Amino acid sequence: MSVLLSLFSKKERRLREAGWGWTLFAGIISLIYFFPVLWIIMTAFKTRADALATPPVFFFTPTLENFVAVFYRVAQTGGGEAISTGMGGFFFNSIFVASAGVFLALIIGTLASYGFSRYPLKGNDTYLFVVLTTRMLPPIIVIIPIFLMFRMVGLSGSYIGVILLYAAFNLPFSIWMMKSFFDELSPDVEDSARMDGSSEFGVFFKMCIPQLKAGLAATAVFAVILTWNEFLFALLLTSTDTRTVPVAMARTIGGEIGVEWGLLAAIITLFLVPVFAVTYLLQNHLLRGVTFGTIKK
Amino acid sequence: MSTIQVTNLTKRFGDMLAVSGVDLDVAAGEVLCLLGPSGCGKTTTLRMIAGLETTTDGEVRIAGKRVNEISPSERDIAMVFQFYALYPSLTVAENLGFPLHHDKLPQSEIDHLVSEVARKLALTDVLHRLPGYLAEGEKQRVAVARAIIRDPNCFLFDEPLSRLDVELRQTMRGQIKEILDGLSKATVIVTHDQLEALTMADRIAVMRDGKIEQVASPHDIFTKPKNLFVAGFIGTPAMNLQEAVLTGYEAGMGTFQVANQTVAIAVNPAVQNLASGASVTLGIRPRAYDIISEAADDTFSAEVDLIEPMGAETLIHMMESDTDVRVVVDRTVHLTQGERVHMRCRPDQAHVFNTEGNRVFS
Repeated sequence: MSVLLSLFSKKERRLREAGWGWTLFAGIISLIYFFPVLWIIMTAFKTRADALATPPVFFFTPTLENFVAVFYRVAQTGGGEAISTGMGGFFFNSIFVASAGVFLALIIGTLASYGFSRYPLKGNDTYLFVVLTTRMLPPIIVIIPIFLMFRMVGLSGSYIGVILLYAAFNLPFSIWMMKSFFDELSPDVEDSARMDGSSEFGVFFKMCIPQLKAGLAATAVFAVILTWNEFLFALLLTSTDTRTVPVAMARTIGGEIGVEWGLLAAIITLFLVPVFAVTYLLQNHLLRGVTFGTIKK
Repeated sequence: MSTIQVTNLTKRFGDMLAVSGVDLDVAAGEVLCLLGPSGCGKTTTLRMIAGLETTTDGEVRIAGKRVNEISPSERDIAMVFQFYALYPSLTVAENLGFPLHHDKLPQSEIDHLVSEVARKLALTDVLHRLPGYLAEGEKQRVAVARAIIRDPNCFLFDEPLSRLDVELRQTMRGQIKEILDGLSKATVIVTHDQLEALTMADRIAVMRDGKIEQVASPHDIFTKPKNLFVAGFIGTPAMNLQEAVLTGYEAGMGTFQVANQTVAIAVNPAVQNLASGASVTLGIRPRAYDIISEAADDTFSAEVDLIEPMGAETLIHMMESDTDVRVVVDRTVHLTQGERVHMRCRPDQAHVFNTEGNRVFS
């Protein structure tokens, strides 16, 4: 009752740390949002019986068997020895392909947006719009031509193919986002550096880039999340060697004994770790990045 | 020699003529202020001198050398920007040292110069801070310090004091003037604040619509405005500009028909060359009137409309036949609203402008 009262009491409000009431309230809301993720993580630690139990169980003895099963399975033939599922390789593929793709998109995107922002072309906005239109089509429409073209030029199934595709896929977003950050920067600082003897490269790398760390971090996080979870292109354009986790995950659904929820949840849990890590490491920058320019300096 | 020469400088942005045929000559040790309302092309002119803007036509010479084709970094100019343009990711010390890196000075020499300039501008305590954590006045001092550290050919200031509050502006104005005095470099300051121009400049160039209206010393700009624009632009409160008809001239006294009154005013002898009956504009500053108790041939009378005390002085707005006349009187003079007063223009304080708007003088 006192919690509820404190929620509505008008005293002691504003500019102070929220009271227990609000904190609890926010906690409940967060829990509702986070619950699906939490449930998946819990399922990853459950035995098959626990995972399928009705009503669902909240308290159980955790097991790591699902995590082991992510990487090793028992051979059907022979002496029943453990065989690698290849999932380790798929994780490597996902990390490699996503980081290379995003890195490439950030480099090209930052340079392009600097150009768009500082050396506008005649009809600059048209070009920017054209850049964005490449993302307006649903991927499913372009996937067949891309698939055929990749086959023709031999990019199909190769790392370089997916990396290039992911870079292209992230480029419009990177350009638009980075352009808005460049637009916020004062050109005076760059002019001043020019007058103080900086070369054009010096202006870009020593003046602009250090100011845009937050923007780069924010763009990188969004691009990483987008790329990390990408399924359709990966499904059609990767081979067994270059397959990414989302594709590999889909293949584990529908085994002989129905969906292996525990296994799936374990893969997802592991799959979440890198994005969590990236976001956590960059979160200070990220917050500044997404609020960039909303508060006048 | 550190000089700036600008001849026929012109800048066109598409169809818009931003700067048109500007000629300027700034001697070593001279401070020239480009003064004008916003959008008159003064900043564009400055940026062309700096090399940050290409020229459509004309020539810029620095220290006697044509620099049109030379990049800003090779022109050896230091510029202070309106919003300071401090490098946000570098500390104050790094900001100050930045221009020196181009000259490939050894680090010990850089450190020495930085600490010296920091002492000069009272920045020693904030050398390790990032610009984001500085007060407005400190930012301004860093900007100035960064400009003077390198011993460049000349200085350019773009609205250097516009961001400071009144009190700081006054101290900074003096400080900048003092620093510039000791350097004997050609300096161009862009400002829209006439007080700033009048106090800091050796010469003022008044600009309007991309053209220079008049270049003269602060004193001459104020006392001998070349045309109606300069007359109306310089001075606060603004000069009274009244439509009048010249009806006669005799021995230094012109007779004018102003707002249905006939007034004799001491004017420049060149006025006698104007035809009798010519339309002119009379320009008299608000401080050039004396309030007189009785009407005479050389007085103008009007009704007090509004009284604005300004401290030491009082600004009186008067109305006569729909023309507003502003007069500044000493605070000891007491007038009441609606009162009819007579005023006389002091000798040599009246300017006569012809129909083209140019001052008539010899």
